[in-house]
Amino acid sequence: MARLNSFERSQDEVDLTEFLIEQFKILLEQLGYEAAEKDLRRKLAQPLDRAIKLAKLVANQRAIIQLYEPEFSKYLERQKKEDDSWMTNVDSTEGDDHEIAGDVATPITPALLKYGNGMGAHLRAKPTVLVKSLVILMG
Amino acid sequence: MGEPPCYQVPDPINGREEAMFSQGQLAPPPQHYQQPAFQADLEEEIRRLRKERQTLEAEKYVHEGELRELRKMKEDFQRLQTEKLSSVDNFQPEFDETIIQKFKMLESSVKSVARFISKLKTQLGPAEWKSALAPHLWSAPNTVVDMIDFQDENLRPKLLKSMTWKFLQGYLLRSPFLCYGVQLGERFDGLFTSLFPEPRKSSHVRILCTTSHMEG
Repeated sequence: MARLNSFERSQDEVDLTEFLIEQFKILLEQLGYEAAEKDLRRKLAQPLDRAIKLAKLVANQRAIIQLYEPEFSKYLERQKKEDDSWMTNVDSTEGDDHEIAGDVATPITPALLKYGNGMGAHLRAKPTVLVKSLVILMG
Repeated sequence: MGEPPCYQVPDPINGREEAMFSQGQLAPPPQHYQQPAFQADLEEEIRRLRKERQTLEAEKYVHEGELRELRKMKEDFQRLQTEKLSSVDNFQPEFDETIIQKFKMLESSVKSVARFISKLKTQLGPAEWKSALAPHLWSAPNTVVDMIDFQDENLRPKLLKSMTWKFLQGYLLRSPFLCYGVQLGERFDGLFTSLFPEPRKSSHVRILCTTSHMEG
């Protein structure tokens, strides 16, 4: 694992970026989009680089840090509360809204959860919500 | 206080039968048993057994000494191992704030990608586009998806943002191994998932994690 961490933009990482770009192009084609190759690569360069860096940072922690893939049934069972500890309807990059209670239409951004402490103990304990899931509310 | 009674403890080999005979527990020895030739053989056998017993006791004493030495060596080894590993394991967990900051930076980039896509013109009609996009959003029942206005200009970038996050989750962030390359990552991920279907419930995951850091 340590040997794997030692590289910066190794061939593996270049190949991974290329693979992700190709998969994203396939996804866009399924949605009927035709983006210029150059523009798409330019737009994807930063997010993919940041995503790989975040993934490596998280992979190197002894705590288990996961994006919370929402189970919609839980959202149906409970509405989002105004002071909900898992969800927010306020997009921090927009800053033009305030927290309200309501039915969740769909999650936009997953929550970032941390299981256990920094040294990897107490992995079974209730997770810490590092970042709340951004959701769209009905109506 | 008189003199304490002095009990004659019979010799375990020599005196046992005589004591039992005197107490009436043993029938008198047969005539041939008392013959001098047998007596001499028995005494020889007794001497041999006594000698053998002394030799075994001496060996036992030596082995007990060796065992004590081995126990001490094991304790010393464990102590040294603990000391050595504690100095090698110099892992420092990342601050939560750093991880949150990296996540927020990625969120900002994802938003930029979603805006870029939303400005592109799709070749699909509204209904087709909705059908094509819905499976790539976070799991939601059809009844709920039907209530979302996919043609809402304000909502479209958010839905595309959701799609991009789910893409990153599926191909990169769902497993700690996928970031190490396509083939290597998938191979490790498959192995890890089969070994630890529920990582948080397995103490081996911590050991694996700890030793992997120590190798560095």
